Amino acid sequence: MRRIFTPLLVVATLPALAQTQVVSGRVLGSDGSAVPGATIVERGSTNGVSSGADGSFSLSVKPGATLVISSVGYVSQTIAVAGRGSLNITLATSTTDLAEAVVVGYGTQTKADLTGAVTQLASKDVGNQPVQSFEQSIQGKAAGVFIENSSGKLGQGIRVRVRGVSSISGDAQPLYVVDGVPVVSDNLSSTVAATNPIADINPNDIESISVLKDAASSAIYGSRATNGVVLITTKRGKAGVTRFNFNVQGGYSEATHKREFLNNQEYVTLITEALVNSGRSAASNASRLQRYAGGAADPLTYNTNWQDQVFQKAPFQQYDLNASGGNEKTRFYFSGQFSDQKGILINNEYKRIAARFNLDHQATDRLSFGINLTATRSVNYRVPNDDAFSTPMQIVALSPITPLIDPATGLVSGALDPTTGLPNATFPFYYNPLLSLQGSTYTTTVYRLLGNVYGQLKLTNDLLFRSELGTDVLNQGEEQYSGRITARNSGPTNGFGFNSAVTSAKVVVNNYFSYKKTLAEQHAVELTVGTSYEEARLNGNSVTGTQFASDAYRTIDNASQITAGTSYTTGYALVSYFARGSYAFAGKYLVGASARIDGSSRFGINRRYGVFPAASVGWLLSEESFLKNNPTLSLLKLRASIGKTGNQNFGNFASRNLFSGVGAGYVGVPGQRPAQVGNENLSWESTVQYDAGLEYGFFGGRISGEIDVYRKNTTGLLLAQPVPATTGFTSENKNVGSLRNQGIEFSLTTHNIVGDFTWTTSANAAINRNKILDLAGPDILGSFLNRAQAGQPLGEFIGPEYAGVNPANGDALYYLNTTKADGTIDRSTTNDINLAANVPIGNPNPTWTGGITNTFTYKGFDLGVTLVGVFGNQIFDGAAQYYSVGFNNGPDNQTRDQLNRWQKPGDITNVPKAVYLGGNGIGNSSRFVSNGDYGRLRSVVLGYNLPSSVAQRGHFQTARVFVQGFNLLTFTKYAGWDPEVSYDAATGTSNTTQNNINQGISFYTAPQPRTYTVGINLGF
Amino acid sequence: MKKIFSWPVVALGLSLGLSACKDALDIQPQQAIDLSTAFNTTQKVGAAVVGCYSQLDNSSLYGTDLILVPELIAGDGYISWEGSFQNYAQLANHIQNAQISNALEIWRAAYANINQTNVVLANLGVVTDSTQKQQFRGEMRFIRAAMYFELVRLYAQQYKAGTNNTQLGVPLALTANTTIAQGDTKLPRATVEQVYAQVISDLQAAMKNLPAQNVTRASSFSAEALLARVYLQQGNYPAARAAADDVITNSGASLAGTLAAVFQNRNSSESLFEIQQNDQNNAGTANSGLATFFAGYSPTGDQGISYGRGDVRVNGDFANLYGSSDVRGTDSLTILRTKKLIYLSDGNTKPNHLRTIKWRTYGQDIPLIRLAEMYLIRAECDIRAGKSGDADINKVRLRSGATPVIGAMLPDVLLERQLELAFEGFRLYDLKRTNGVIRPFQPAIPPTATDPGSPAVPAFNANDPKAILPIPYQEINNNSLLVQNPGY
Repeated sequence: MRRIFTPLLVVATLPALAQTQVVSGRVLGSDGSAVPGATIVERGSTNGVSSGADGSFSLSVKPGATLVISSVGYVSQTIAVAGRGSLNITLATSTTDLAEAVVVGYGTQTKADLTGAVTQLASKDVGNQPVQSFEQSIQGKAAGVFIENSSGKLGQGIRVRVRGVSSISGDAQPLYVVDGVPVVSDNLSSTVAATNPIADINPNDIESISVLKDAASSAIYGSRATNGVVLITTKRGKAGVTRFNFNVQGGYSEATHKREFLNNQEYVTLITEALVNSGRSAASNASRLQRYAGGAADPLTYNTNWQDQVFQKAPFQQYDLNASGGNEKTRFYFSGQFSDQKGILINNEYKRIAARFNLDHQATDRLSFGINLTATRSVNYRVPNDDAFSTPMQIVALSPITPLIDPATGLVSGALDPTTGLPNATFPFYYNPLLSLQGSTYTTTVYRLLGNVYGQLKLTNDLLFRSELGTDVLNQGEEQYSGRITARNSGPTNGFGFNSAVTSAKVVVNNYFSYKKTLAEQHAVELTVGTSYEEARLNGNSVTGTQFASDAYRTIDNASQITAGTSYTTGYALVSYFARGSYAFAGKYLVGASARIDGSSRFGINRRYGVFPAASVGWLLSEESFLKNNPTLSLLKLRASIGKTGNQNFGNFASRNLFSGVGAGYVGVPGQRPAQVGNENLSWESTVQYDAGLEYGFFGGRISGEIDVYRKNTTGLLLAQPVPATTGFTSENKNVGSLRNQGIEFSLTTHNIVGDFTWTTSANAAINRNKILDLAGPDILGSFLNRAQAGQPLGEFIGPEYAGVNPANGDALYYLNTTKADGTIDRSTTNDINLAANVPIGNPNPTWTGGITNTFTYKGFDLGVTLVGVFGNQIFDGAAQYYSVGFNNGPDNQTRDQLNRWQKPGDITNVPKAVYLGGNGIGNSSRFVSNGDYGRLRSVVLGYNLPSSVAQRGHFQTARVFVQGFNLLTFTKYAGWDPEVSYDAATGTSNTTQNNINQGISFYTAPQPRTYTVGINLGF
Repeated sequence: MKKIFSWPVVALGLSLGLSACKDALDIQPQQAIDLSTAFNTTQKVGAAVVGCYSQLDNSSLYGTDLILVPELIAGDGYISWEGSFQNYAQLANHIQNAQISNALEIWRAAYANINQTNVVLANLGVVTDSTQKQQFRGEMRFIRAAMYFELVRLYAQQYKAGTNNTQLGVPLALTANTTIAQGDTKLPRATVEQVYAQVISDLQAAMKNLPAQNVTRASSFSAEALLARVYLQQGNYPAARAAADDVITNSGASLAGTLAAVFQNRNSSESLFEIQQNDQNNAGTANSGLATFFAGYSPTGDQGISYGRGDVRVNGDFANLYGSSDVRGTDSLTILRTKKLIYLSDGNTKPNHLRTIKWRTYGQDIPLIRLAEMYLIRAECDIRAGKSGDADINKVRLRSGATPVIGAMLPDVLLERQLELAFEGFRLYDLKRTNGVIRPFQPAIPPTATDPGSPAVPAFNANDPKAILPIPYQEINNNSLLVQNPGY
């Protein structure tokens, strides 16, 4: 394009000026937002301009000219000027524009030349949503990328699975790379519930997200590529006038669903029946109920809905301001954000202040350099983990006959009496989580500096050298204080304080050459070769203190007793060499290859370096003469790839044979004990992935999409293989076992209606089948019924199969499922769960996932509706053994389905006889497994763009108001709180094997939030 | 072009040079040290010995579970579980299944310690001082014996004197395991006879190697006293008597002035072996630890300061077994006012329930073997041999203000054990070796106009399959040679 402005051409076009007219207007996306940098060219000429930051343009054209408007990520549009002086052009979003630049590892490639499976998403997919982290916004938008929020708690870990789980003991999350720097995405929380460091990235700063799915695209990230690579590119300034954008939105959240528990009447009826059945006397039963009811003689005095006490209508507000602009030499993008979201659980809140400064400078024709930098402060006011008595959701265990407010004190039941300092002692029967919500805090504050500086030297017209120095410094402080009121839970220690500081610092150096040349017009060659060095350090310490003079003192220096202190330091380094080459002949025949050599300090001394090659081919059939200009089929491309990737995301010192003094001292005398058996041959997990893809387009891109099939064979799993505890250890790290993921991904975009009214549909669906082929040892058991077992998907629920209730006596029955002498399965039943064989009874992995987004625009209005779906998976309710067992496991309040219990011989029901602490039917079995399929109206956004004439009256270039609903509707038969669920105590990094295996578990896990917001976007 | 191309060569050279640094990948762990350097001096071997003692205080071992779990299994009519941990509630109600977490955790903690004793024993070569080497050897065999004795009692059916005891015990791991190749060694369950034989041989070796005094660590008399307990469990009364007698006569230990003092003070004159704890190093203050579960009181009257969750309640019927003058019983007063060992909890959770004073502070020591037990062993053996045990029993009783017994018979000495050693983890094993009943049969109560009545509750005997723990579910999964206990 630069040629247009060469003097020669300006001269050449001069004569034409005499008979021109000026046409001006704005280029808008289908969501009504401005499209900056779009190219507007007069057809049949070289006359053209780019749109400004607000999408505006002005161009002199011949009368009767036709304009071609194009922009990366949009369908090009051709429009006749027809004498008009002003034109507003709405571009439809495209997923298949062949000229689109796709961000790949260490560079970009055009969509046409791409031979790998890459899904690219744009800023419009992630901005302005009431979520903490961008992954939450792309749920259901990228085929083959499964995203699961653990719960309605804010800033918690999110499972992201690209083409299934390829590791059992290693991390299964993708590698995140922000502007070329692989960033820290590991959970750093001191508790077993993970937090999400990716939430430190302001979603509104994101320009594009590339998900590298197959080996051809990801293998250049070598030993960290197996789980997919997510490349995030942030927004950059464009030459032109300085543009400001201001966004504000506010709203509130509430729980998507509450669960039904017994009311006081039902509770008294059922527990009395259970107590009688257990042989307890009438007198003791009456006194028990009186105790539960806070001493009231009538057990029905109170009727407390405990669940309602921990949920709130939670406000949300977010402010964004950014400025961008610059000139030909220097361009900048500058942004700031303040976001404050309260959780649906009381006391839960996430606040973020983020600033970004991106600058590019062209020093000479040859040399350019720049900086990308973001500084973030995020504060997460956390609530206790799902497995803690103090977690808000465990409040459902309390009896409805217990008063919310202790009549003796006027305070919440279980609180200290202000006059005597005495805790109310006899009720509720469990610790009241409201006391923790009142009397304890857990604040995680993160300061993060993430960015890089780069220099780029144009050595020749075709050869670039780029050097990047990146850093990711994350400082995390955690402060916990539990006051006296929480004594029943945190220990009667007159206050409990915990304080920790973690510094994660990472340095990344990338140096690479890229060469791009088209020879003899037919041979396009691209080469990238370079090196990378990465070193990460993690240091932390913590101190715990008790005995505070009063709860007004909360810092550890006020603790009169220091009860624990820790410090640790760990780290890893990665030395890498990488290369990628691609060759395209005549724009039709494409060949690509890449390789990376990774040396990692994590690997055993005998196997320090790994090689990860990949190769791919592509054929753009629609460029062949027999298809070119075909009126129906506008795009047809076939591609195939094969490659090897690795996973090295496991403990920094997993290969070592270690002794440790941690916890081995004996009243002040130092001690040591074995910590880990070493393995000097320990190495990366190796995945060979095959991918074949088809990209298609019909009717000039009105219908387009991709289909990919793949198979990922992972061998040499880095397995923390269980060993008999009689060896003194519980597991050993070995490269054994294999698993496989295979699947199909579809994506389809149709521009159903174009014109003044537009309707665009983007749909995707993915099927993934995960199967463990071999474990070379025993099954690996999860914390409930999840298991890693050869021949089954990872995390399959394997346990006794529930057979209902014996009509004669109300006993829970289980199928024996043992193999008889004749080889058949014994389907007779037993009431002894220990005799029932453990069989597969459910799969937590969805059989298919998908999403569909419909976008409508009319004049200034835009409407976007996204539905997501997850199908074919099962959920295990880990807490059902307490609250859905007819008091057979204690006095916990029960779900209402327990009213259908067996009562007398002949009763046909699925709910066993209620016997207080009778253990009837409490064992973990298929009784607590249910289908987790759901469809969800994930987001609905309705916006209105004020006509520019109106906006300009307020000195704005653009003005848009919108209303948004998030998680508005959920369609499911799942009876629990919410089918998008993951027990947070199994998401931390304390035991990666368990985290990977323990999928699909609900354990007092909070439902997802439903959020409504209204907002304004202003451009000026 | 040529000139320009020299640049990339330099640049590439630089960039490769930077990252090719060989040391870059040589990052050493800071929190742990390599096995090769963990055992090369006497001091380091000594530290590993300390690590074994430290492990004894693990909340899955003597820190909590090796005492609390048997007490709960034998709790009927004695103590009740009124806490919120369902695993303990299941044990107390005999409804636990093969996945009960305590079975796994005790097993893992015990075998981790057993392996460490084996590792130390295999590395004693670097200890040059022969006295020191002997002491370490003795300590390791004492700890290993203690672990196997606990395991065989918890996971296997009772030893029966006069039989071959071929019932399955626990696997005997007796060699050091430090390499990946040894890592998946699968061991079958040895017989109960074999496990007891190993325990006895370890304790005999410990007696030979340990010094008579070893400060707060195991002495030869610790080993001999434990041996007396082992013989008693086997029903080998002459041997039990001989060992107990030797400890009483020669250890230099003497009964403390009061029983409370044994638990309130550290390393009393009566103590033969105890787990050392303090406020920083203990088995837990919130979710584990003996005081955490047993205690529930306010020590100063200031209700803001209190101890324990009050999860274990002493049943009134049991407390009433003590005579009125017996300070081991109760006067139903709070801890500040009581003169007895069983107090009425105040202030904190679940007040007005009886609790034991034995486990009252998080940082207190845990006396594991004390002289009073030796007197009662000697008395029981004497009574079984047809001799009088009165003198020994009365030594224990009179110390606590109880009335003296005259002509005590076997039930008297067994009762005395229950009274004296209550809440210390003895009751279950005493009932097992005497074929006792944990929960007697409870007949049905027919419904009346005011009372819906209740069904009969069957008896629960000490030798019921559910009165031992399951072999952990995970362990059977990991080791195909293991056979599960009946009933699981």
